[in-house]
Amino acid sequence: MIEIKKYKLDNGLRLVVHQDKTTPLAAVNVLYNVGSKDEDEQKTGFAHLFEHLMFGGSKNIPSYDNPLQNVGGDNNAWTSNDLTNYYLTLPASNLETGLWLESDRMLELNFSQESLDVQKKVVIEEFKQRYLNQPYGDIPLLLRPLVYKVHPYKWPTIGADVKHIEDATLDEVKSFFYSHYAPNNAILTVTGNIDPDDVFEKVKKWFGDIPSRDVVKRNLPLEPKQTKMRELVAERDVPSDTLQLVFHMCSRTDKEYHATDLLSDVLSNGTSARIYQRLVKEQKLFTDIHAYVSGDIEKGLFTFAGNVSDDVNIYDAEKAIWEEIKIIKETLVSDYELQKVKNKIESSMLFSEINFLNKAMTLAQFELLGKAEDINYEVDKYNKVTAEEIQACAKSLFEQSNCSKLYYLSKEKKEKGC
Amino acid sequence: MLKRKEVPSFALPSGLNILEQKTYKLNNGIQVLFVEGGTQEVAKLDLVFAAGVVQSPKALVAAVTNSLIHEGTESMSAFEVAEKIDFYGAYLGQSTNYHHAQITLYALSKYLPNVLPILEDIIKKPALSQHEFDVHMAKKKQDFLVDSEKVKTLAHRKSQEILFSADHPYGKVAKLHHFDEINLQDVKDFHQRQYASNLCTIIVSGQPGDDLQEVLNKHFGGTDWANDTKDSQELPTASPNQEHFHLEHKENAMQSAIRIVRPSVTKDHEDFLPLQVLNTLFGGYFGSRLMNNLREEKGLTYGISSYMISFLKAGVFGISTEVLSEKRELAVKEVFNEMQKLRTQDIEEEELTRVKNFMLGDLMRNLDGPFAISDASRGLLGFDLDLSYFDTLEKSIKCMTVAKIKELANKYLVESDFYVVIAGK
Repeated sequence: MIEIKKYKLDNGLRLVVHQDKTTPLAAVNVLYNVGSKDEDEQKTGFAHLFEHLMFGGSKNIPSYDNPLQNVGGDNNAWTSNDLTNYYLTLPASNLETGLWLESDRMLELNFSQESLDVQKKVVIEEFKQRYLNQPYGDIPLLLRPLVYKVHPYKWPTIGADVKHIEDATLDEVKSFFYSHYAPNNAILTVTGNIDPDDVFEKVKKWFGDIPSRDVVKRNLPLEPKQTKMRELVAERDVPSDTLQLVFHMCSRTDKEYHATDLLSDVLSNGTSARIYQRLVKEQKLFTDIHAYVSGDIEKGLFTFAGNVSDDVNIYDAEKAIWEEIKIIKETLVSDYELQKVKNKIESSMLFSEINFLNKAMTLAQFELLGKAEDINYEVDKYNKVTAEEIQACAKSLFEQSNCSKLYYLSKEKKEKGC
Repeated sequence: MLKRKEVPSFALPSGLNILEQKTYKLNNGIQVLFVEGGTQEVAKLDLVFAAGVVQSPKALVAAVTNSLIHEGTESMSAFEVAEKIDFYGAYLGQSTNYHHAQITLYALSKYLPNVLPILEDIIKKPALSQHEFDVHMAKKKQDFLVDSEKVKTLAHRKSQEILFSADHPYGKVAKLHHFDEINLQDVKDFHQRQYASNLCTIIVSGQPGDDLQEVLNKHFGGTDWANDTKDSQELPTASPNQEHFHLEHKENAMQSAIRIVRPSVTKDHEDFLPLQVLNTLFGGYFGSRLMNNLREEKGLTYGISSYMISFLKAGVFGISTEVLSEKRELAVKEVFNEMQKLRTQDIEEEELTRVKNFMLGDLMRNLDGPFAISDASRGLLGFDLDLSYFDTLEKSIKCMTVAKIKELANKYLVESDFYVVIAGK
């Protein structure tokens, strides 16, 4: 049970506070409700590029990092399709420095051409390092446009093309800030060795006078229902074949979400799970395989991803996945197996609640999804799922017409004639 | 009126105030290190054995053995082991380094009585079957080939080989042919020889319950699993390569990985802790000289860092980055320029204070909670050091001066002592 206190400022900023006296530290997490799904299709990668610019100094503070390091703090940030999340940790006694820094960059950034030019280069090198110069690194770049035809999830957070990043202008940066970065579009969470009411007073002091802004109203195009199977073959200089089967699924806030997540756990969570045991250990078709849900806020994806064994044909390996799909559609999961995955959920929740920074991030995400208090009912929601519900999920998800396949083939393996 | 341009007042806490570590011995002499605390009723157990690369007669044997023991026991199949561990919401992990192999169990405290017998069986009576060996080796071979496509990995492997030479355990990097040269008997022999109570240390953290000592004695305190293997960590002298520039060719690489490395001191050397301050300032945090120059000013890379590694018998000081292939010469030049600046120019007090304060905060983060402390103490195993080491680190940080930084730079950041390794096209 995580005890929390919630406050709301007049400008619309939501504050969630959780006290944890076992640590001498505190965490400040600022979640902005803007992600790559809010980008223009011709200007992808912008939300993430913008995240980099948030470290280039703000209206009254020339450097974000230096003052934080001076008080023993550290920070970072990440961007997803749905949101942008900034976090810092510091000795709890210096909390005010963190609030001072975060409030000033919410107030106004120091927009500079120089900072934009350098961060564009940095992000382009990041693009190469993570996606283009890594074996299998371009899979998200290939899969997203195959699976989504209309919805902005069709491009990855890093962007669809390096060119989009190169072309970003300072005017676009400014307009992005004022249309998405605002107290009324943010959630602030503070955790650690702090007093909640004291935090509230300090937050009012530093964030209270930031004006609320006209945040662009989100109006995302709906992805039309997929009607037939899609397939893409890519050949690359990689040592072995990889197969991905991807199905459209519900969103994080839909009521079937927990059953769908447990469906992926039955198939794949832990080394005793079905597909690992049968397809890797028994049949040796794959050297590794996973099934997982994306957990996106909009309708997301259920993915099977496996590395095919060297002496196995990728199409034979695929058949075995469909066989597992058939089994889980036709047969109810046993009580023991269901209890096992529920126990694992309960345990992983407990372990994730050890760290104060984790708690700050998770609370912000729950607040974004609905309300932060829901974190305490999450295990119950999983525990209520029945074997019948899991089966129903499997039946509705795993249709051929709902599937997109990526055959990512090794050139070398092909040349050897395997 | 809110003074937004002014830094709010702040203070850094003094003293570490970390959770206390208890030590005791089991009936058979196994040393137990125990840190109690945390918010949740969970526990972590590390069993550490002198079963690393140094003790292993052939490449890969240490790591393969430490993985394969999880795959079934004399009385349970691999599936049964995995299913039980999963059912109780526990996690079993393992890792192997040059001098040690460790097995880690995370569990809810209430289920320790259910999972500890499995852990005991894994360690004392693993099945080590041919089938599981084949499955594991197929996966590891694929992983190895995938890793070999990464310029970062290629540069790292090469740098170890250069610093220590291929006939030294630290420089003996795995090669593809090694996968065909080990067999199940090697693994069985290695387990027999190195997974014994006389070669074991146990580290426990969290809230394992009041009867911990009794429980540990029940499962691991007996005389049934001792042997006469000596805990030997001796090594031949390393002979570094004569050539100081090495290029690992990798076709079609968009970026080049750069490693710039030199032999350095180990954790128990008097310079090690002061050198950590210089390392942080140079390339060890986001505000470092290297990050400012190569990333924030020139945009050459997504990231660059310097690092210090201490194995038991030798240390490495290194710089690691990935840059656009055409820019790699510039990047290398700038790294050496930054070294030169530190050797010849006094740093500003302001910068030193910032590094010190950042490091003091980082020390708090790294020692926050029972699991973090158990990880920190594991890193000291084999050295004649205990947790007071971190008090010494705190002192070293606080006592660092501008003059001392320059002195250390002149001792350790000398261009001719470094080897440059580049992997790329």
